[in-house]
Amino acid sequence: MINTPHILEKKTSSESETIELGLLFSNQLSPGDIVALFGEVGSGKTVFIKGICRGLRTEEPVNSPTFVILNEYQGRISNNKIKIRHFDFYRVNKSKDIDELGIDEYMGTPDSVALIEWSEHIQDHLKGNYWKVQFQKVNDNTRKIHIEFLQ
Amino acid sequence: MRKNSPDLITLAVETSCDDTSVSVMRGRNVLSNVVSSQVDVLKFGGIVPELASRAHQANIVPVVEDALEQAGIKLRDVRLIGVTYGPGLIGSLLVGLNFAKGLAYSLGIPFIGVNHIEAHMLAAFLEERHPDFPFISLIVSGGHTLLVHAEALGRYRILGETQDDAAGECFDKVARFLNIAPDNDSGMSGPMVDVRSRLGDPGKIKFPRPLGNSDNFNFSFSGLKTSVLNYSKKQEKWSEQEIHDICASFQEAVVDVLVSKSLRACREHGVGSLVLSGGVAANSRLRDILREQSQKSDVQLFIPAKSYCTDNAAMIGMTAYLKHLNGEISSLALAPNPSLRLIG
Repeated sequence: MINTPHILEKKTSSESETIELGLLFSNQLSPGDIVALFGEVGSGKTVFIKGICRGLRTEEPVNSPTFVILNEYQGRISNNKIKIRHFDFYRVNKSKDIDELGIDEYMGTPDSVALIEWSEHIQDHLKGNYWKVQFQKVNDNTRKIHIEFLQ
Repeated sequence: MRKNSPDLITLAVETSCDDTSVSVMRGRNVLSNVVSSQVDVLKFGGIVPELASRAHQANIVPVVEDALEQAGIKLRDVRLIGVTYGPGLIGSLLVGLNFAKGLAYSLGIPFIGVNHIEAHMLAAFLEERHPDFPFISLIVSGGHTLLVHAEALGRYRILGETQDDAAGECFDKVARFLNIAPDNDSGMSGPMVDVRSRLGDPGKIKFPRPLGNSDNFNFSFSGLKTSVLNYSKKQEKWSEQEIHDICASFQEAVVDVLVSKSLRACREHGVGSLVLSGGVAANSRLRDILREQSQKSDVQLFIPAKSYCTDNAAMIGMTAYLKHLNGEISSLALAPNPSLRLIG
């Protein structure tokens, strides 16, 4: 992460461009990283995560965990196996509920990478270093994606 | 293989996601099927119980007691335990699985770990009129959308599945864009889209049919969701009738794709039976169109009762029972698998 810019902003104009950006971004990730995604419904969060997972060489299908809250996939960083934990807190928006889930035990562990949709709902739990990725809809197809590493 | 054990008492536990559910069966007959969200006393003040494994923990004993009492069965008469071990939320799965293992161990009886998705398919066997293998299974719920060729017990081929959002999730999100209040019974907004649609014109707005014409059996609902969202933002305020029309047109797009792919799967695989299950199986438009089109295509359609389509323990019990007849048993070392796939 040392030689990489800590802020990046890009516009994508199709789903496949968003996937491509996620794939490129996946090269920045190290085991233990947390990627917090922010943005409204349909702004490209799941699509971006598909790109990241492709970059981390996941073989399982990557789809929305809205109902189950957490999907887990196998992936690789360099040649090390890692768990990819794909969270979605759309349904969970009370701090008390989040405490009950015990998610802190699943985020930021050295054998995993956490990708978090609806991070708006877990602001209080985002401590330490993490990647903040914000999605904004410009029009039906265009998305503005802002990536930042927060320390 | 045992042909039948008509008097075998099975106790089944399901805690994979939304509810704590326990069922007691005698042979193939369901004696009780208790779901926590339907038991008011067990609702937690302010906490959505389905989200918390601690809520499952608090629920499980009273739900077991309730299920045994309703069935008129004593715990010592139970001979087999069935339990979901995936897919689902890890904490919730752990509660059910550990409870079931402990119970099996203390009673000295076998337990069988069940795949939640397989159980949705085999829920068809809970009905007197049920299909024989092989059949095509369409499973549509809040968390899953897939088409499976069920060749025999334990032999399944996934023909296609959603590449992004599950159909039920899409219904729920669309309801929220349109500010449709959730259903009182389930607390979900999705089922209200069905209710609104009955008053709307399904041909009013032409929403896309994602992957509708592709030659595989995969589904994609995220693009449809986004296009309904974009459409719903065109106006600040919609009349009631306009909301009915948006609902009906959206629902038609989903139903269209689900029905055409399911029947094409039957045709291409030369299978004459189709099973619809999962929570979205309660959708009236999906049931009607599927019934009508199955008849035209000479396909026998099987839809289990609504209480067996939504997440429930009876389907876990039936699956465990069928596996038991098949001579299967699980090891006490079985661990929960949050991303368990349908294999075989």
